[in-house]
Amino acid sequence: MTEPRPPRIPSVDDATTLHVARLARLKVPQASLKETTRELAAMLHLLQQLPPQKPIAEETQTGPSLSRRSDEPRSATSPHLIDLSEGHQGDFVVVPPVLKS
Amino acid sequence: MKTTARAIAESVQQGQSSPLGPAQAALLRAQDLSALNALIHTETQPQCRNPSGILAGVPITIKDNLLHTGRPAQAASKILEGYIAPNNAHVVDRMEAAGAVIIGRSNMDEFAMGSTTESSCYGPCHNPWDVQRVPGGSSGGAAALVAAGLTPIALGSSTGGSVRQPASYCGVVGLKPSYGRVSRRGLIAYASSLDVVATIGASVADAALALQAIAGHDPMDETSSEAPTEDYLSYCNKPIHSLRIGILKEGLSDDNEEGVNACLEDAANALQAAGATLSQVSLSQLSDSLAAYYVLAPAEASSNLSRFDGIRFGPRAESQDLESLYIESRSQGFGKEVQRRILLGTFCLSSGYYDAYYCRAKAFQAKLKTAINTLFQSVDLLLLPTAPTTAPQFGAHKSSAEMVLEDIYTVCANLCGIPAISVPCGLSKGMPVGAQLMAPAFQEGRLLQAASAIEAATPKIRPH
Repeated sequence: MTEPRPPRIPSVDDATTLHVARLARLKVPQASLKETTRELAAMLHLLQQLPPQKPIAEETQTGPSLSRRSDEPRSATSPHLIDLSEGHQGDFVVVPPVLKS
Repeated sequence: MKTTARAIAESVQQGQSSPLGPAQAALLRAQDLSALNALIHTETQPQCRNPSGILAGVPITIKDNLLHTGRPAQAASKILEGYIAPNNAHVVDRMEAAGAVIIGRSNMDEFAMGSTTESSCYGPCHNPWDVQRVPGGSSGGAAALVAAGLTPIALGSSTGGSVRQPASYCGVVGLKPSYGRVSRRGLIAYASSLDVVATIGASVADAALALQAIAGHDPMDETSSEAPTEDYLSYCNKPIHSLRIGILKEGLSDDNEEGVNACLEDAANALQAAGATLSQVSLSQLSDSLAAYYVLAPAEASSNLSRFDGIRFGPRAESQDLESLYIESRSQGFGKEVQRRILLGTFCLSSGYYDAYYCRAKAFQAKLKTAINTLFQSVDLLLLPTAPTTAPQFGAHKSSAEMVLEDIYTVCANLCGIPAISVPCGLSKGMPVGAQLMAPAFQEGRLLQAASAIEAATPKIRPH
């Protein structure tokens, strides 16, 4: 059993907002960039209330490990991850494991 | 409309009124209510498909995110401008089969993302109790129309409290069924693992009757449950002597508007007087459920709404290349609140923060379900306020982060997939307050039983 990883505290700046917007295929006009960044940071601050948890795979001992290596193949049901922190330039798509829409 | 759904149906079934009479009267009256901006599309030729059904001749409205063949379905978004529904939502089929008469579509927050019905491409909807105040959201139009007496029943949807909260603000009954109890086929998706079609009624019996019409298995929705349905209406008259009700300690916060806590105490006293056994219980995870919800719902929304790109739906922006076309179409088509949630969801799903947000939220959701199931071993129902305040004035919320706090007591039921109801329990400073009851999955009957007891003990409230 490994120790739960401490959560990474994001520091949201205008560059992050623009990068997320590009991934989401949205345009953030320069005039509202600061406001959008401030709102994103405020929401993320709220979300940090979540208590630290062990990754689901360790909690339940079921399902695939979520700590996927970058060279592992992705299946249709796996999240397609884009590493923002490393400025990954991959194309869009972030697919959560949702139920049928 | 000053009568109940049941009374209208009985009158039509017995031939005392014509199947379309109540709907035509409601459509005439709708013109007087145009200042509310609650009804955004009206039926030119309403139809009653079953004059002997349980809802024969009962006029209803449906939320703008439910498909109705041949009618516009925009989820109050510019990005779906011009979209015409090619088929009926399962619940629309069910309502029509029960004899209900659809008179129009109700206003809502764009893609059901909001708690005030201010973020609609049709403009904001107003609360019939005080037009300077919001009706709540996202099913604000539906709740406002029922409160104004236009229809005794309306269909809405709930992802985090979108029926209970506007019901509380407008002084009507909002019933969110268990996840899977009602088919989601034909409901424009926001967060598919949390979305449910829900009912709003002028009374508990009206909400129960509507649930009776729409509940049941749909083989074309994989998340639809095969659990048998019940005679929900019959629960409205059952005594509650055998019920154990836990008052959720965290719901009686000092941060609530003072009158909200006082009204909730009145509701608890009414339940005790009717014979229920009351105790105080605690769910320490309640406040954190808001954070989990605002990770999971935007994450699913960012995926669900990726299909809206100007190619298959809605207006297409002019552009030099395909990528710019997507970006321009989406940026012009989605409103501010939807864009904010898509950005948030995209951020939470990105690999740098996926574990820190999405995985933590999913793990928290699992723990919340376990905690609430443990509580339901010692009590049959939980009682708490629907919202910490009464309906705020327009523009009262300075930011999204402030607005979402209104959902603090409602998101828990959606995260756990359990049924919940909001029933009026009094007034605070002249505005209605809702008491919320939650039950274990598929125990909607218990909710209706206890909600009826609160309703019976609360003086009837109506907007001026």
